[in-house]
Amino acid sequence: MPDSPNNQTALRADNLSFAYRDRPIVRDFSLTLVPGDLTVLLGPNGSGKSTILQLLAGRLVPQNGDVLMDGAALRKLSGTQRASKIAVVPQAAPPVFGFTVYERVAIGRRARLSPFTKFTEEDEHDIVEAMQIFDVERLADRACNQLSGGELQRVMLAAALAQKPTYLLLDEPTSALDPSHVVNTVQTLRSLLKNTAVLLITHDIELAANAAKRLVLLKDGAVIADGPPDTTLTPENLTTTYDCKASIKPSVSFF
Amino acid sequence: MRLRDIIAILLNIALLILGICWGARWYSPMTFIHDFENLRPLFMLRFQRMVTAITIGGSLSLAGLILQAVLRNPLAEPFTLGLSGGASIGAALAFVLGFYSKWVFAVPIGAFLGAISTLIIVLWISRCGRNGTESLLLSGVIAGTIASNVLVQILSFAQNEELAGITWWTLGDLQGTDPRLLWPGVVLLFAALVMFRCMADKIDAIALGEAQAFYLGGNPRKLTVVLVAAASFLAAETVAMAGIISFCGLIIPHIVRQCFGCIHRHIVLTTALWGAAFLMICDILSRCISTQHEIPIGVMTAVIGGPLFLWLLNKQHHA
Repeated sequence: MPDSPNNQTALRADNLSFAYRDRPIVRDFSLTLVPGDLTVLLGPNGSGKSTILQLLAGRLVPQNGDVLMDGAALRKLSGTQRASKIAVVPQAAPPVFGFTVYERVAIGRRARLSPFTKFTEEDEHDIVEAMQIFDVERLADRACNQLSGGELQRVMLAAALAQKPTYLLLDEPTSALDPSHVVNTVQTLRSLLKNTAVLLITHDIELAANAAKRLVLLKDGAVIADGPPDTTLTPENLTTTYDCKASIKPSVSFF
Repeated sequence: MRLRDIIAILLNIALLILGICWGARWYSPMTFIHDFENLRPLFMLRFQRMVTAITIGGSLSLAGLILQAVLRNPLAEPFTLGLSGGASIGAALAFVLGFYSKWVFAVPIGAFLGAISTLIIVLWISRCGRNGTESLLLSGVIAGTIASNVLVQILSFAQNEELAGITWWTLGDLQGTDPRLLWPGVVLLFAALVMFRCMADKIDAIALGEAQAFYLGGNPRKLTVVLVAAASFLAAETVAMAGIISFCGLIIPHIVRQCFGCIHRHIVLTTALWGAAFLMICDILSRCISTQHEIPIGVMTAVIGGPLFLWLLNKQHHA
């Protein structure tokens, strides 16, 4: 994919390297996300996928390289500027306190507003719509710490959607979802692509093959293959990435 | 303002009037109005005591609400970070070294300095929250344990009169609050209410976890230090005013969350109002159960708050 010009709407990682102490996690990684992209990062445990997501979200600062959001260095932007464009769905963990589903989704929306601003009709509409899209509207009054893993993941997705992000970064958002909700999530993500760039981390190769416009295979923090799924998901690449012999066969699919 | 807050304010006014009328001897509001000149000293004494209860109840509940959210621990309370231990050492030293008989502010200032010193040490050990809230919590628990043992050593030097003073102080006392300490406490409570209301959305985010707080636009480390310091300062101020009063800062945030939800912009004021009401109720009862020997307020909050907390816990479990 061609690099975008600096001033274009894009979240760009330029030659990122990151190490925890002396242990390199990400090596010379580059990626550009522009609205319309649905990029999937695929790789074994410890390959650096979640670290890359945290670098792109600005939570970690790379030792080498830089992350640019719409041409500006991400590390120099304020938290509000960052949160008004980037939404992240981390791996689901139930909150300690009993925020209701509505409250949890509304917190996502609040990231865009100043402290004393009340929700407008548009805000309320977007919150309810996000809950409807991810099928959690009927759970609106339930406490998040009493939900199942799959329900909580849908609530987190709805909260990120209510944030109306330009860049949506998702860390294994479908790991606890049943097939129908996985399909619904992928359809929703595709429908957002006009105004949003999506980065999806997953271990589900079938999901990656069906959802991705672009697929990046990672191993030990380095890129093994990068491109459309039909060119990257080859037995050779998968064997190299996962260190076990892979073959591609037709199987039951919900996509 | 929400209806529930208006109701809580009316409840606070009713309790304030009740607390002025009810004491060792009951005087009706009409008696106070008709014979105000003669009853003025008693009115002022009881009024000041109720304002002290409002200020301390509100401050402790707010401090508890914020520390529970920041530490993401429902068992956190205003003294979780070892503040009560540090305050006790400061107060005990003021007694044992004889400062209390020479300067009226010796015990409150000693307690305040002890609490703030503990906070600074805890923040320093945990590298200002750089190592996460678990490290902050553990540092607080360890500092509190060390302080308790140091306190025992100091107590071994105390004479009987000093020992009685320290014991009474550690159980809390609303009667002895100097008005010169009360009004700064009132100002501090109002300042804290404004500050926490302005930061309410950030508090929601940090209650979800450090990662979420960052992704929602906050700086979790800075937020943690600012909120922990502000809440602890509020708690230290109450210690200086009236000694250590337990349970108020633990139980009121739980009740408020259970009744009114977890969104902090909706519950900051509510928590302060219910905390004020709770402490006024405890104080009125502590004065009225026995007219001969007043029950220390800390004992009353524990006797009422303990069973209430267990009942809440049981209710949550069944829910």
